[in-house]
Amino acid sequence: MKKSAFTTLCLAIIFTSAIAQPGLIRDYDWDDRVDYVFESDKDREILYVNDITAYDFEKDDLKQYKLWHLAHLLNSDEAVDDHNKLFISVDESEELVEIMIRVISPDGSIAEEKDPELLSSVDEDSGEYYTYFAIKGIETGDIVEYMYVIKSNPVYQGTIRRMQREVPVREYHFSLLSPENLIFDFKTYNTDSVVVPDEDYEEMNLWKLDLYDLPGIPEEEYAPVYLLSASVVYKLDQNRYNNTRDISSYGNVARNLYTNLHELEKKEGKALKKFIRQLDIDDLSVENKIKTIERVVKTDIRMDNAGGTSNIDEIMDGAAANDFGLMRIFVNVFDQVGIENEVVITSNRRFSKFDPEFEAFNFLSEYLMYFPGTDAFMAPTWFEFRYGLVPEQYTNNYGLFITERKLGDFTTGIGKIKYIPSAPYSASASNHYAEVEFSEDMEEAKVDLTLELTGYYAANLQPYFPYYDEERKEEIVKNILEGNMETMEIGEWTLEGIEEEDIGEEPFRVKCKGTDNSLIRKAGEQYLFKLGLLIGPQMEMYSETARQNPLYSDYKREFRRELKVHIPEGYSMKNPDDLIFNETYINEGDTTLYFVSSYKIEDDLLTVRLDEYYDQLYFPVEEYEEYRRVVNSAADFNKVVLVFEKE
Amino acid sequence: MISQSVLSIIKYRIFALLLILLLPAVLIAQYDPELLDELKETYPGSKYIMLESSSSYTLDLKGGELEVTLEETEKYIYLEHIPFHDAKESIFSSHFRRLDDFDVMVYNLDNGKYRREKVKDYNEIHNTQEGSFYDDVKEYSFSLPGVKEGSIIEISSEHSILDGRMLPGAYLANVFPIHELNVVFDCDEAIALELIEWNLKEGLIRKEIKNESGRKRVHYQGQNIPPFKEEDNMPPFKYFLPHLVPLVRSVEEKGEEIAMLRDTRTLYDWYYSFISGIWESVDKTALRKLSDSLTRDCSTELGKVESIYQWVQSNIKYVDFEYGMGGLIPRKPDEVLLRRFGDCKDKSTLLHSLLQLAGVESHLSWTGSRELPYTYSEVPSPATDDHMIVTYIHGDDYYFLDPTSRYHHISIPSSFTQGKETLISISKDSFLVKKIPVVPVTENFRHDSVFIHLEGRTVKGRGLLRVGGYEKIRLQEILMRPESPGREEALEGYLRKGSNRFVLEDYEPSAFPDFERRMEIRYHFSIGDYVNAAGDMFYIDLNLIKRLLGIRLEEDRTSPLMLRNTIGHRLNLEFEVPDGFEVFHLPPEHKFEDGKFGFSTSYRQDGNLIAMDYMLRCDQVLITEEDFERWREFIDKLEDSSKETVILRQ
Repeated sequence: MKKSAFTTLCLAIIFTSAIAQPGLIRDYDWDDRVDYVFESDKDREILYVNDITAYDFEKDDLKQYKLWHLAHLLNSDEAVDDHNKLFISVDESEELVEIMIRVISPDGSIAEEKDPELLSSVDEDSGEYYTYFAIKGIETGDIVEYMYVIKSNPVYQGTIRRMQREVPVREYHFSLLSPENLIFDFKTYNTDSVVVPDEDYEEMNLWKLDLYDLPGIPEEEYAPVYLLSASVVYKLDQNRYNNTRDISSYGNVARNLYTNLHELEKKEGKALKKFIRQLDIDDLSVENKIKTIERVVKTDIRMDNAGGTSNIDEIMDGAAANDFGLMRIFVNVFDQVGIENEVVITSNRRFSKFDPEFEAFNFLSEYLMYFPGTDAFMAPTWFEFRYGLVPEQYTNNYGLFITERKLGDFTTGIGKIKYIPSAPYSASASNHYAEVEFSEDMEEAKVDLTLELTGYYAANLQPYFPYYDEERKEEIVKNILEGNMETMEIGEWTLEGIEEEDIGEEPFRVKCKGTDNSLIRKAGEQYLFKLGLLIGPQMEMYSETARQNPLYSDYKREFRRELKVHIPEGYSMKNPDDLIFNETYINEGDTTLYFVSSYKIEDDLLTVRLDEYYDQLYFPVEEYEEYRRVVNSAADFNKVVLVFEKE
Repeated sequence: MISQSVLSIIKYRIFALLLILLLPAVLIAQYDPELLDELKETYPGSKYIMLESSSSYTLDLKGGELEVTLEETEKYIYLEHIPFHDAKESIFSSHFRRLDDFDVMVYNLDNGKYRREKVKDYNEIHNTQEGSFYDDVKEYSFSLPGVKEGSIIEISSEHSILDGRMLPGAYLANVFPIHELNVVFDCDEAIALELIEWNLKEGLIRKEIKNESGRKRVHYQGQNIPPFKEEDNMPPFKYFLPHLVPLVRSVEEKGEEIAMLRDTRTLYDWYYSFISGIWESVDKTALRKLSDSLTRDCSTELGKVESIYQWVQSNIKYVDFEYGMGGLIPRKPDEVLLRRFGDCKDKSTLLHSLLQLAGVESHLSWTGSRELPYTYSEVPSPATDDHMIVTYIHGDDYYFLDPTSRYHHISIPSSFTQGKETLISISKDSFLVKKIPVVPVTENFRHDSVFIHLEGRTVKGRGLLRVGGYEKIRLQEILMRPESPGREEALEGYLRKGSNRFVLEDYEPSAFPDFERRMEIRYHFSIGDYVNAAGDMFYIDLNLIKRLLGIRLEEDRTSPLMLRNTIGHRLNLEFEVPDGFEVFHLPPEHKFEDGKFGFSTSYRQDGNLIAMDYMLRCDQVLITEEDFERWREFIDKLEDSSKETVILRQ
C-alpha cells in the first residue's frame, strides 16, 4: 500500500462534461499579442505574463490545465543567455499539451519556432522531470515569447504563485477557471489588488487578478525576496453540488494525516515491535528516550525522499525511507513507548511564510515533531539536525500542530495553529579562546587556540564526525583552523565533543597549538601585534551601496571570545584602549544586538573579553543601519593592532 | 521513480566465460565474514574501500571488423557503517560505449553471514553530463538496500566499444584504497594494440604479458593501492594519477596492415572526414551577406578577421549537443547562423566559413583543454583533444581563435587551451601541429598606479589600472553585467586593496565593450581606518596587494600546482606624508628572483612622498615537483615582505 500525507477528495458532479479543454485555454489566441513596446534602455524585462489555471472534468476525473504565456525583453547578452533555453517542469503524470514559441525583433519581424527539438531529463536529486529545448535565432534586443499548456491531475487545495520577480513585470494576468460547482478562495500578498470573479463569463466560474508595472526585486544578501513579492494563494473552498465547505481546511488534514500516519499493516506492526524491542530504552529519561530513538532511526535507516518508500516493513528490511516513511516510524515508535508527541507541518519561511489566517495546503510542506512534555522540537527528516534544533527556515514561523483526540474508542487528530519559535541566540555559538606568547626574538607568536561551535554552527559537523575517516576529519579540522587563523602554522590539535552522545550536549571543540609569524611585525624599535586577527575573519558590511530590501538573518547567534596575551618582558602597550568597543542596539527596550569588548592587565597578562550576540532576525530597511553598525564593529575589531614599546 | 522500461533496450546476455576464468575466487565463493576484520586491520581509519576493481578489454577481428568489449567489475566494502552515505551506484552508457549487460549485487551481513540480494530496480537518467545541454550519456542509478558495516557491493557491467579509436582508458588508483586491482587486455595478435602507461611508478603495479595461440594478453595487477590525496590547486587527475591509455595502432587483415591510430597522420585523416563536407548543401546567401557586411569597412585582412571573430563571439551563444557522431561532426554553418547557438565545433565552422567567404584563409583545428595532459605525438587519439577552434595564420604569426570565448582579442587564446597542442587542418592531405602559447606576463598583466593620502586614519586614493589579456577580459566581463548592486560589488572586489574596508567611490573605464588587448580604468577609493595610530606614531602598510600568499605547498605535496593563468602584477604607489609628520621607519627592500617566478618590493622617500614599488610575477601555469622547493622559498619571502610597515611620527 502506498501511503501519502493527504487523501484525495471526491469532487465529481453527476453530469459529466466532455470538454477536452476549457474554452479559455482551447481557444487561446496567441496571435493576438504582438504589439509589445521595445525599450532599449532596460537590461531585461518581463513584458507580459498570462497565467491561467483551469479545472475541468474529464468523465468523472477532475483535470487541471495550466497555461503559461510569457514575453521577455532581452536587451543584454546575459539576458539572452538566460532565456535562449527553456526548461519546463513536466512530471511523469503530466502532459505537455501544446507549446508555441516565437522571437520578435525590434523591427517587428516575427520568427515562429515551428518545430522545437524537445529534449527531456530528470533531476536526480529532486526526482523532477523536465522538458527543455534551445530557442533558435535570438539576438540581443529581441523579445522571446512562448506559450505552453500542461495537463495534469489537479492540485487545488492550496498553491502559491509569486507574481513579482527579480526583473520588472509590465503586466501579469492571473485567471482561474473551474466548473460551476467548485468555488475557490483567494488571498493576495504584497499588493492592494484582490482576485475578483468575472460575472460576465458564462461558460465556467472565472476569477481574475490583473497587475501592472510590478517593479523588480533585485537579489540582495539576506533579503527575503519571496516574502516581499506580490503573490496570490488559491484553494478550493466549496463544492456546491454536495454542499461541502472548507474543503482545504486544516481540520481535514489533521484527521487524514493522523490516520495515514497511524494505520499500520500487520507486517508493519510486527517490524516495528521488533525494532522497539532492540532499542533497549526502558530505563532512560523521556528526553534520552527521544534522543536514542532519533539517533537509531537516523543512523540505521537510509533516507531518500525521491526514491524511498513509506512502508515500514520494507524500510526495516533495508529499503530507503521517504520523508513520510520516516514520519510513520517516528510517530508510531513514540506512541508505543509512551512519549507524547505532536506532528507539525509548516512551510519554509524563505519562500512562503505560514499564514495563520488563511488555511491552504501550500503552507504544509515540511515536517517537524513537537514534544509537549519537554517543550522541544525535532526535525524527523534531517540527519544533521537533532532533538532540540530544527532547520532555521522552519522556525520563526507558524505551523499546524496535530494532536491526538480520543472520542470513545475512536482516536483521531485535531489541528491547531501554533508558533514555532526560533532558537535563542545562546543556542548557536561560535566561541574563540586564545592564549598568545611570543618567542624571545619576537619573530613568532605561539598560539593556544580553542574553537567551540554549538547549535547551527555545529549542525553540519557534529552528527557526521563519528562516521568520518581520519583523513576526512583532518581535512575538516584544518579547514576550520585555516578559516579562523589564516596564517597560523597548525601544530598539534585535538577534538572534543565529536561522539554521538555529545550532539546538542557538548560543543564541537577544536584545540590547537600553533605558531604564527604574521601576527607580529617589527616596526623600528617597536612591535606591532595584530591582536584583532585572533578572532578570525568577520562578516563585513562596509559597502556603501544603499540597502533596498529588508534583511532577514537565518538564525540568532552569539560569539564569545577571550584572548590572553603575555606581554613580552620589557615592553608595554601603547594603545590598549583600542581594544574597547561598545556597539549595541536597543529595540523597544530589549538589547537585540550587542558587541562589547573590554580588557584587563594583571602582571604581564593582558586579557581581552569580547561578547557579541544577535537576538533579532528581521530588519526593515530603516533598521538596517543598526545591524550594519554592529556587524561592522566586529569586522573593525578584527583590524585592531597593538603597539608594544620598549619600556 | 523506478522504471523497468530499460529492459527492452538492454540486451541481456549470459556473462562471458572469460570473466569467470579471470576472477574465480570471487564469483564462485561466498564471502567470508572474517574478511571484514582482516580488511579493517589492513586499512585502519578507512570506512569504505574498493575491494576489487577489474577491467577486461577484449579486442577481436570479426569479418575484418574490429570488435571491442569491456567488462568491468567493481566491488566495494563498507568497513564501518556510514549512515548518511548516499548508498547509490551508477552505471553509464553512451553512444560509443554502449552498455550491453549489467548486474548489481549487495551482500549484507545478517547474523554473521552474508546474505545476497540482487538489486533489480534502478532509475534511468538521461542527459547526465554536468555542463552539457544535451548528450547521449544514460545513467542507470541503483539504490542499494540495507547497506551497513560489512556490506559488499558488486557492480558488473559489459560494454561494447563502438569504435576502436575510442577505447576508454583505465585508472590504476582511486580516491579509496583498492584492495585488488586487475586490468586485462586480451587481443587478437593481428591487432597492434599499444598501452601507453601514464604516471606509472615502480613497485605498485605488476605487468605480465603472454602470447598464446594467436592472442596477446597483457595483465596489470596490484594490491593494496593507496588512495590519492586531494590537494589545493591540483591539476585534473590525468596529470598525476597512474593510468593506461590503450591505442589500436593498426589491424592486419589478409596480410595487409590497416592503420587506425598509428600516428597523428592517421588521426588527422579520420578527423578530416568529419569536416570535409561542411560546405555540402549549404545555403550561402545569409552567410555571404553577413560576411560582406562585417568586412565592408575593413582595409586589412587582419581587420576582417577581427571583425568576424568579434561578431561570432558576441552573437552566437554556446549551447552544446553532444550525441553520437554529432559529438564529432560540426553542424552546417547556415544552420548555426540561423539558430544563433552552437557548440565549439558549430561555432568554429561558422567562424571559418564567414572568414572563407570574406576571402580569408583560416583553418579548423582540434585542441585539448587543460583537462588533458597528452600531446598528439604521445597519444594520437581522440583522448588528446576535446575542443575545436579556428587557426588563422598571418605570415609567421598564428592566431588561435576560440569562438566560444568572449571579449577575446585575436592574439589571446582561450585560457583553458594555453600550452596545449592544436591540430590544424591545412588541406585534405596536410596538417600542422602547433602549441598554443601560454600568454606571457607582457600580455596578461595588471599594472596599477596609485596615489594616496590620509584623512584622519582613513586612506583616500586615486588609481589608474591598466590591464591586459585575461585580466582585461575579467574586468570587461564585470563591466558588461547589467547595472546592479552585484555588479558594483564585483568591481569593488576586483579593485580591492588594503583591507575589506576598501570602498570604490567612483570609476571611469576606457571604452567598452571592446575586443582589444588592453583596457584601463581610473578610480577613486577609500580604505576606512586603515592606519593604526598609537601615541604620536602612525603605522601604515603600503603593501596594498596580497596575492599568492595562501598558495603554500605542504611538505608532502604530490601533485603539481596548477594556476589558471600567468601572473604579472605591478603596483606603483605614491603616498603623501601628512603635514606635521616625519618618516620614522621605511621598510627595507624585499626580493626573490627565479627564472619562472619572483617578486620585489621597495620603498623610497622623496620629499613628502613615499614611493612604493611592488612587482609579482609567475611565468608558468604548472609548477611541478622540481620547482617545489624554490616555490616554497618564494612564498616565504613574499610573506616576509608582506609584514612590513611604514611608521610616521608626529
